[in-house]
Amino acid sequence: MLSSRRSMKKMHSIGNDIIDLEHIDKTRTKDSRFYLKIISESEYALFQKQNIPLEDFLWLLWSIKESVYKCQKRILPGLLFSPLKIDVHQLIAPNNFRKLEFTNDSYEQTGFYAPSCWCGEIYSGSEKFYSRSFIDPRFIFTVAGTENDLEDICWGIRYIDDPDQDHQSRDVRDFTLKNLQKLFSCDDMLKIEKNVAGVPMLLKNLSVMDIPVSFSHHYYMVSYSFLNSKKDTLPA
Amino acid sequence: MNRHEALNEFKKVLAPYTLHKEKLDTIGDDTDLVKDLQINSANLVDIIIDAENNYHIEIDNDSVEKMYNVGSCLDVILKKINEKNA
Repeated sequence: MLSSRRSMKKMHSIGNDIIDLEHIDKTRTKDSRFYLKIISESEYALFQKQNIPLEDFLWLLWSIKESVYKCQKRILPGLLFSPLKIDVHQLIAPNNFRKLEFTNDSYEQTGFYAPSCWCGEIYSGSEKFYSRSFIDPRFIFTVAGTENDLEDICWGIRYIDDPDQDHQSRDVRDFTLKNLQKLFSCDDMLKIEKNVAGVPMLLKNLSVMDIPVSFSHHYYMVSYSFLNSKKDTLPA
Repeated sequence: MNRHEALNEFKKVLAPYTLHKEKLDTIGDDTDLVKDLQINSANLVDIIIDAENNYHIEIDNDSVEKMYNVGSCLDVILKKINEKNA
């Protein structure tokens, strides 16, 4: 894993991850050989303070770490994912959980109602990140960023009917673009492509936009997030 | 076990985690597990555990982070086999 010494004080990035809980191996998840490759002893101590099953805790931390990795990789393209080098040092459980109500297999929102989320504080190297996660009976979803409020983040989750990765990729792009086009009142000038590091980039008339976008897919679930710090104005 | 034998065994480890099994016939050192074989990153630890079981080795956490493509996985696996047999 490359060093993250480069300052990310003004890092303009986000990352998100989704886990389809109907397609995890619960037996294997409970095997210490498995989970000790993902969480540290200090993170296991966090689990002992929470009243949730180990498999939910483990995949919650996985989704947080993967989201932080995606957030960092936009700035450090050569970064490799090393779950044990990303330290979830604080995790606050929701105290007023509201189940996400899906419409036509989709859910979209801007920002987060913190009392309804799992709120995390994470370190990767010397950089600090913040996360918001939902644990639903069907999925775990996380968004991570560098600002604690995460209020400028637009995000969405969708059930899909085909787990083939080509289908997942097409679906999550269409899902994201529909929201972007609606938000910015534009038609088909927007496009999303991955750069050589595999990081999604939003393009307008083939120019890269300063709007960080992140995708995730796992079996029958896809999700997106993007940072709308320009407050609904599409940069020229 | 030589590298060719280790590669053939590694294809069996990867098979359950890719929907594109035909691509396993042409994999080489530079094949990226996520980008080229379209293996979901959530299955990467499964692959490490299956490799430990198949080759009867233990892969430490420092080695795990080096395993991102076929070549780097085979490097770690063969190193661990050699250490076990030394």
